[in-house]
Amino acid sequence: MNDITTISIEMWRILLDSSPYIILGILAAGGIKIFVNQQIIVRHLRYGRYRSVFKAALFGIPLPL
Amino acid sequence: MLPAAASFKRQGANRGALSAFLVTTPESGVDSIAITYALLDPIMTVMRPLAALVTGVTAGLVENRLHDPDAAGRQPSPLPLASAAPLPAAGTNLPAATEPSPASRSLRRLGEGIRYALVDVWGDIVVWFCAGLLLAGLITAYLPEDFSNLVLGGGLVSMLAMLAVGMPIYICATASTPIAAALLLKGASPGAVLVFLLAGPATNMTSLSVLVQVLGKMGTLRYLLVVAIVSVLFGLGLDKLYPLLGIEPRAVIGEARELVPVWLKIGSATFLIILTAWHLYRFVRHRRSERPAGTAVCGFPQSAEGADRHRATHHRSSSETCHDECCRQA
Repeated sequence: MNDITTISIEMWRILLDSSPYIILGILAAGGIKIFVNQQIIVRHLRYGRYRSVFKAALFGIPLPL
Repeated sequence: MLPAAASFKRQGANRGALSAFLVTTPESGVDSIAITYALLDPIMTVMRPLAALVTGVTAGLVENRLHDPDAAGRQPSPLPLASAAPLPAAGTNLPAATEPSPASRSLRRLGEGIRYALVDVWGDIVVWFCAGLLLAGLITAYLPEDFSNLVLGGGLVSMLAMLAVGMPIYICATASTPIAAALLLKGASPGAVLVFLLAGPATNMTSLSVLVQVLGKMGTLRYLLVVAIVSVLFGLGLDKLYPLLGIEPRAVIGEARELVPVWLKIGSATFLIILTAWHLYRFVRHRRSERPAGTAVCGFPQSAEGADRHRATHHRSSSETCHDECCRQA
């Protein structure tokens, strides 16, 4: 019983601390979705042996999942 | 992530760019950056995307060194450029008056963005996040502190131990953060935790088959090696960085919590719980009413309600296996 209390309290604490930031994060992901046209970025990934790699890596940083 | 990579490949992105994208997208995102700031500390918040960037660029450069996309001949893009962006059809004689006003259009787009955030992004994360939360609770209650001090306290062995845990399992970047916080509080070194945060999302058993299809067998092997080596190097480096800056990692963990007022925390936690309950309800209803048990007739059209809205496109597939198969073939 004691363990279950510890676990629940810890989970609740983490949820409290993180949820404002999670909501901020997923809304930012939504913002990227509507403001960035993925198709235009893909055009940058076609050519350039090294350039395309840097662009692709940078592009992937903010994208969720 | 994987459907996006498949569509990039179809549109002619080269292998190096694909590898880079396949590393950085799962390892870092705006959502995981935000939660890292909340639960860990500013150093980790910077190191995670930075390490992801270096890993991705390394993987991509290795790939393109071996297979020069330019030398292979500039193949004409499989799709004509014009089709890459949806253009308004020329010659449509719609009177200007029927076009939605800019204000209502941007309102609709705002709605789309919020819907995407709450339904698609959170829908993709929610199961992993609940699992991560539970695991963090279990670690807090049961992981003996001397064990984590001894085994995960730093050094190459700790990094390799985290690699062995992180590489086969899948946990998304956001959901791995509570686990990382719990491990840190139990005395794991920041470097070892960083290895887990990088290797956990970047590689797993089920994504292997997709990686093999996109990068080939040797390409996948190189991808895994680069992820392993760069993660360990960053882990070892990070363990040197904290003492160099004179920071005790355990003392600064989760300091960002003090920036947020309590009412906002309780409000957003309640909102997330309600949203999660809605996702659960939706999932259960979907399962019960729409999916024929155990059949995977790929591409067989289901009723309109059976269509999955995922990342703003409609997929009609009869099971998850079939959905994944379609994405892979696409």
